Amino acid sequence: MNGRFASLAGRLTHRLRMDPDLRRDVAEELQSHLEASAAEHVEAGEPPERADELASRALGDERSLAEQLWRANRGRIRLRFWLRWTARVTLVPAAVFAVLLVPVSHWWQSSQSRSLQDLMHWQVLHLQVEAEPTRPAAPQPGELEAHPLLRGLDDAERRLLFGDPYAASAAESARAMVQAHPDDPAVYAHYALTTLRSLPGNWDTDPSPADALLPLVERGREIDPGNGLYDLIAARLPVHRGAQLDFRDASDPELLVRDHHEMEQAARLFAQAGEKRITTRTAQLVRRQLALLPPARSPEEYLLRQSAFAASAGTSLMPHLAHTRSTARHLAAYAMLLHEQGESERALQLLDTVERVGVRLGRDAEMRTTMLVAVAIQLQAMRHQVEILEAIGQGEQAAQRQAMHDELGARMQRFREDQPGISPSLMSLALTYQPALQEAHLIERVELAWMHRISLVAGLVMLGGLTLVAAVVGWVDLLRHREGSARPRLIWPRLRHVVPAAAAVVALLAGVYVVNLFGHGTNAAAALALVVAGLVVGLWPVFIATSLRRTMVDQGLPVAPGSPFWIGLVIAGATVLVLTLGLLMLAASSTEALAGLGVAALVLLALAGAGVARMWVMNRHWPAYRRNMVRSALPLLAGSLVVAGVLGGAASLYQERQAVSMVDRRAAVGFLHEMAHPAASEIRAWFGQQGP
Amino acid sequence: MDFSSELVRGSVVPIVLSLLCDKPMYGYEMVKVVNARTNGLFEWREGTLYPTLHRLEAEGLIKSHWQAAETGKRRKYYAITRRGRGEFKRRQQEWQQFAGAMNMILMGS
Repeated sequence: MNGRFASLAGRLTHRLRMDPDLRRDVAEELQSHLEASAAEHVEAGEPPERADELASRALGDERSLAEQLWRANRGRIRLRFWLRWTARVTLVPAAVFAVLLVPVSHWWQSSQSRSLQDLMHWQVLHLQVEAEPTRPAAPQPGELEAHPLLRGLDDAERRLLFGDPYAASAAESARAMVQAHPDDPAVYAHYALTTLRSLPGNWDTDPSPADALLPLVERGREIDPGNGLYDLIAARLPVHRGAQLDFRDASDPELLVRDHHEMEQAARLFAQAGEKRITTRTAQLVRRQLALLPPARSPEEYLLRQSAFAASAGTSLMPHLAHTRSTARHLAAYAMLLHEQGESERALQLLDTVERVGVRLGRDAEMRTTMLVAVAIQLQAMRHQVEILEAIGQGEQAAQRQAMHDELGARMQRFREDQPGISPSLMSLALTYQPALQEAHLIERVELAWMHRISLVAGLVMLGGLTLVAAVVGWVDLLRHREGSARPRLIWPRLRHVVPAAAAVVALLAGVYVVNLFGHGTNAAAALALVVAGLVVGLWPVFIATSLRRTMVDQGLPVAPGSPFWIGLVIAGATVLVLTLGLLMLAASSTEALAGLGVAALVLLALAGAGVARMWVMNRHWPAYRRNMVRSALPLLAGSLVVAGVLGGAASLYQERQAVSMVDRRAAVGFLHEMAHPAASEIRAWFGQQGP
Repeated sequence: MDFSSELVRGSVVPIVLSLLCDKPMYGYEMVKVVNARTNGLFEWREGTLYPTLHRLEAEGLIKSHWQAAETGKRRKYYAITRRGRGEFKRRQQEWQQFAGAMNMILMGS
């Protein structure tokens, strides 16, 4: 307290010393009163000393006034004390919590995802890709059982999920799954397919697989008698023994028949399969496996589940489909050979058998790859039927078959055009190991949610850093100037100064969200999100400083010349202009550069914000202004962090869940839903109309 | 004529609210206005005004803000709140009833 009435004001407010800010406020008010009163006495002709004495006397009895001031303010002092104490205890920890919440939750989610990813990669690489030289080591004993995602599962459930994790091969692991679920047709089909895949690749030179396959097929028929899958597997053996396709002319491979009896046996088995439903039950098993894992909490987890199980299922399924396609190709070629040998009726009958297997396979196809194989079998059988029918003079029937062939071909073409160029079953496999392919994937909403989360984390960390600096500087100032006029003041900006700025920031964020909903590609979304995070982090402290400065001006407190608002606005405007031009230039040439531009913008804006802070807040020529600004900005920055952390975090979580629910059950993402695609349903319906 | 100190003390709150209904004022300005309007009949002890102002502010009937005057001096202005206006109306009615009753008793009207 300064001035000639400082001593009197100090005595009158001595009992308010528990609250230094309030005491100074009251003392300044009394001094202002006394100075005005004394000035009036001086104007009336009194000498200054006498004027001061009269002014002091007019105030009343000193002791009584001090008591009255204490009584009038003690309630406020208590309230302010508790509010300050509560703010100290809660606001800063809440701000720290808000800053840490999103990155920590991000880290936690990532670690959970990584944990899941480790499991899935191990499952895929260790068991499925046995020849892979860099395959990961098997988990340590007890590691899987203790895994957080598997802790609640019993042994049978863990077996269903991973078989025997310590087995030396995929087939052994699948056998362990069967031992835990002995009469389960889906589990057994998985075992059969895995065993089929694990057999030596070259059946011509390696030992015959018959010893391994036949018992497998017999047991499969017992467990799942209505499934033609095992007849198809069995048919591969006589085809292997009976004939070989010579692909030296790839467009017209020549069939070299070694044993007609074997080919007839294969035809019989194929016919048996065609009488039954044909399913690998892969989707059924994967659904049960997915249901054992806790629900996905983030897009990463969701996609990881989808891709890993698709990869696992795909690697089991593909050899079977390849064998089936090969057997059908051999039998179709065998039919043409019979036709050339004059047995056209028998040839047509055999092609009917092949066609029927194609129909059965397509009717119950669980995923796109199966559908592709079914259509390929069907189209080939039809082409050969047309050829034979024309050759034996049945032009009308040939024309009918040709029309059906063309219709199926057209439906297939539509399906190909509507879907990504690569089957989602395989896309998911690719996604697991080649994240760059995500750019081409139809999951922009998920990517957008990721970008927003990253921007939020970046923004909070930057704002948190600024708050930390303000806290340290503010506390040092308070320690150095505990009492007196140099003590930093806590100033609350007028609501009318803060609300428009807050509304502008919220509108900016909402605008970006809406713009991104229309989708402009991942990199553009990333650039935009980062630019806005930078703008918000750069501008918000400027808005706070501006509103505090305007309040200080209103109160006649010392302020540095100039306004940070216009400088902030000019920097932000120039940045936006540069970025817009940059975006326009880069949009046509390099999409990857957009993301880099966003990061550069963030750095640029951070530098701009630091420059403004350095220029206006840390101004050494205006120490009182700096002290007041830093102390007053701290609760506002901390409060902003809490609001941004809580609201932004909640919005981010909501957006991610929305994104997951949007992509869930979409054929383009999960192989389990590939057949839900309208074009796929159309083909399946076509298969449904064919024959019994 | 000097009013009793109890009467003066009891009138401070309605007078302050009444003054602030017109415009925001600082403490010394209020003292001067009251003295001028009452031709010095209300000789407020200036100091008693501030505890009253602080109490009214704590009760939410008035609010304050610092503002620099044209001379550059900072002054603490007080303005009435919506709640303060309601309280003022209530006190006005109360005073009218009280004054009417007193008139009937003292003046026999």
